[in-house]
Amino acid sequence: VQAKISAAMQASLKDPEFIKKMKDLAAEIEPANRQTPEAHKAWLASETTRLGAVIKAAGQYAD
Amino acid sequence: MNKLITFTALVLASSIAHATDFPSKTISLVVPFAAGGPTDTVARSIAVPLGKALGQTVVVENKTGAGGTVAAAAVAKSAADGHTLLITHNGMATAPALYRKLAFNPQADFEMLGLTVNVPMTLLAKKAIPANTLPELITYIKANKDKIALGHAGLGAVSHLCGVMFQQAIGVDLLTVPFQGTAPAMTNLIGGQIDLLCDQRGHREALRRDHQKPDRRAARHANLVRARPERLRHDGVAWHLRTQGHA
Repeated sequence: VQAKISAAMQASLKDPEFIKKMKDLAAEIEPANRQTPEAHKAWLASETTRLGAVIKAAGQYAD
Repeated sequence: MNKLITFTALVLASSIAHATDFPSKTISLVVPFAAGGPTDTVARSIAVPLGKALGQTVVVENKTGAGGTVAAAAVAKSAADGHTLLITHNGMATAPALYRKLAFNPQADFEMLGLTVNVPMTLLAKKAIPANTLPELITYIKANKDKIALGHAGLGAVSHLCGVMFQQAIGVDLLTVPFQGTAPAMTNLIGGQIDLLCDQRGHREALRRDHQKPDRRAARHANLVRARPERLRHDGVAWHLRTQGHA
């Protein structure tokens, strides 16, 4: 199921109407090699480490 | 040119799914932020082609609260059949640091689906600040650091993270003012109640479009935007702030 939704998502990112709307938002479509579940997982892990350090350095909590 | 920071790489995630007859009903795409914001815009734009590709209707649901964590917790607890998806951003990476008590584990409770889009960030200053370039702005901020208020779109918002990173980059600790989203923060920036705001570039583009309308309010927007087109960049080691030239 994960593979099926991811494939549908990747196809959606090629939809001309979607591309046009993202251009209006000044958003850039991620390159194909970042649209995969594996890349997403690796990205979340590295961002959690990188941005977690930034938040901790600021000493801020939301709760 | 270095890649712009991936502050708002929007991501799709769902609970762990192992159904054989997927999709068997309407799919829910949960947005953790208010309707009309950048995440919501991406969600509504992708819902139609996603539904077409899956052969089922995809309905966007806005579930706001606690910097996006209310929605993420709800999706984490939903039936793990792939019919409940979450679209979010870097907030998933900052939530474990921001919330001491988090009702879900961003890395363990979801199946990742992929990164969708990247929305670059822009730093905006109110019109009354007498600086036309980023170095001038930084000098001004350092000289007036006790008087400057930095607004953001709410704790856990990318705008908040951007503000934190900007302060760390230039070595100041400013008064920060949280708002319930980008729209009220922008209104207060234009009104002069806050001095600085970092948010998605899309909003700046929207302000530029407003400039085409011949009313005074739009002209004020345009001044604000045209004078401060700096972007925050990140090269993986240190933060760099670079003036991008006037819009």
